[in-house]
Amino acid sequence: MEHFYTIIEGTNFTQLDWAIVALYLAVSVGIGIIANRYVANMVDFVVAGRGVRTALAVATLTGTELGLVTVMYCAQKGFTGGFAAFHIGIASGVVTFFVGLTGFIVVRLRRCGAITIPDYYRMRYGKKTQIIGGLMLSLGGILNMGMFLKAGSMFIVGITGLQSEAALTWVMVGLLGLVLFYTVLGGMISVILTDYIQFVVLSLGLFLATGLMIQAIGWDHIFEKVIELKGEAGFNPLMAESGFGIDYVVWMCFLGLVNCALWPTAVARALSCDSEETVKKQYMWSSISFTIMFIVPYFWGICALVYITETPLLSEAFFPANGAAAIDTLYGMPILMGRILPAGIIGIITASMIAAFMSTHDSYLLCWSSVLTNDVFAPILGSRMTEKLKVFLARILIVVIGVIILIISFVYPLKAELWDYMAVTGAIYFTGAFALLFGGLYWRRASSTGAVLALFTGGISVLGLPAVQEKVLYWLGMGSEAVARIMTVCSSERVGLAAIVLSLFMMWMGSIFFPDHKEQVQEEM
Amino acid sequence: MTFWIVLWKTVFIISMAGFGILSVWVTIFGAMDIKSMLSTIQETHERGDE
Repeated sequence: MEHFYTIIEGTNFTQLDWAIVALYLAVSVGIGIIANRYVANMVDFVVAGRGVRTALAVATLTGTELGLVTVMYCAQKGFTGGFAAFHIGIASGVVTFFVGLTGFIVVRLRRCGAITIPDYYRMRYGKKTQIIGGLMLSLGGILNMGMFLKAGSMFIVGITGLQSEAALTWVMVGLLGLVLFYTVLGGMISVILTDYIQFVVLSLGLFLATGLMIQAIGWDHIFEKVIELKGEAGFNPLMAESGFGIDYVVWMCFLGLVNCALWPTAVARALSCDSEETVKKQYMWSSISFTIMFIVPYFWGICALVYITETPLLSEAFFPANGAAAIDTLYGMPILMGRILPAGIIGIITASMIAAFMSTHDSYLLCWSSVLTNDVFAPILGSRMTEKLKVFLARILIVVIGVIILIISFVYPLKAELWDYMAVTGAIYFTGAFALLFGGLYWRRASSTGAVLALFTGGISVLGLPAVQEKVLYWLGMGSEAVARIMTVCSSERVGLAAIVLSLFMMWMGSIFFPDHKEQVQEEM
Repeated sequence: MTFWIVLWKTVFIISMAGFGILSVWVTIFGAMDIKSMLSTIQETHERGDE
């Protein structure tokens, strides 16, 4: 641990940088207090009165999806995978543009007037599917969010060089407390206002940090060093040695679709727009942000790899030759920033990264709490659930979810790479949701039985997590050799792709053999 | 390998340029959209529509 402190104390972070960060945090809290005046009902709280236009819609979609956790896991992927990881950014941008061009899923979803995805399940499949869908979504979503807090706080500790064992804990508690404060007060209105400011600060931070890294390390030298360290595998994602391969690329294309058209926080932005035309424009413009949000952090991770391998003290800490414990690769990028960015600039970059952290947290907290309120508690409580009670309950749930993610941050040991953890936990929800949305919006015969079967089948994606896979295989009585063999074949991307195909199949089978009668769905609604 | 290096260099430069333009546009017009969104919400409340 002392070795770790020696590494991070080399940061250029000064009092001036702390002042910049404090100013930014004060502005965010102020916005929450102002936005609270505009919240009168659940529509204001969840979809900001459906009054968002194109430029603001792009800012809020980018602010939400480009979180500090995204920056951290992408930098880690760039650190381990090199330029070959860039294919994920391309897949994300192209798929988002396609969704904008065609309106695939999101336009039809907005047209039906739903305020959340499970709300659409109610309209199309009935109340039972809404409740199950709401629970599955919240479970996958909260688990997915479990590592956000820790990863974000690791960035703050790494870049500021805080010298205390309790620093990580205090940073986690402090940041979470701030986000909870303004989200509980202002709901979506506050989230959208802060997203806008966060977009502006974040854009500035992205350009400054990238420019300074290129200046410090050298544009051509970055490429030359990756060639030296990784060879073609550092550039070609189709090579098995790159750590990606064809399965992985296909999985990433599907995740690109999920990110923009199925993930509830992104869909919530589409549902907040003032027209269908705005939704399409929002996605086409945001395709640039959806490319950048991956590519820039990959680039930072690659710069960190080059810098660390060329700095003896860091190289020894990250790649110890004597079998000692290595520093987590997640710390690579913040340590690089702390060392090469000058005082003052480092404060702006940190504020922009905290902006990214907060804009993602607030949206996610709001999204899961509104789903639980609107799609689980409201259908169960029926007419007893007044508008006022809904807003109150949503606010309570924001705090409860905040506490849950804090607990997950403390207890879950992150074994796999962060990006893969997030892809798998998200898949618990989105593999089933894809079948329900695609079937419901584009296939007249999709039935509620098919929907429930698809939802539960999507849950098998959890087997893509190496820690879960290992436990299940040992529980089935397999020997360690067989376990290792199966785990190599059943990689998380293969499990995910299999879950999608199976969910679609179950939706088809359930709908063909157990079709809905019109009256049955209307009664359930 | 040259193909991949040229591809990733091009992708990086074009994406950064595109994001630069997008940032300026969103910064200017986003501020106007905020004003419009807040007045729409306030008008809705005054009319008591929702």
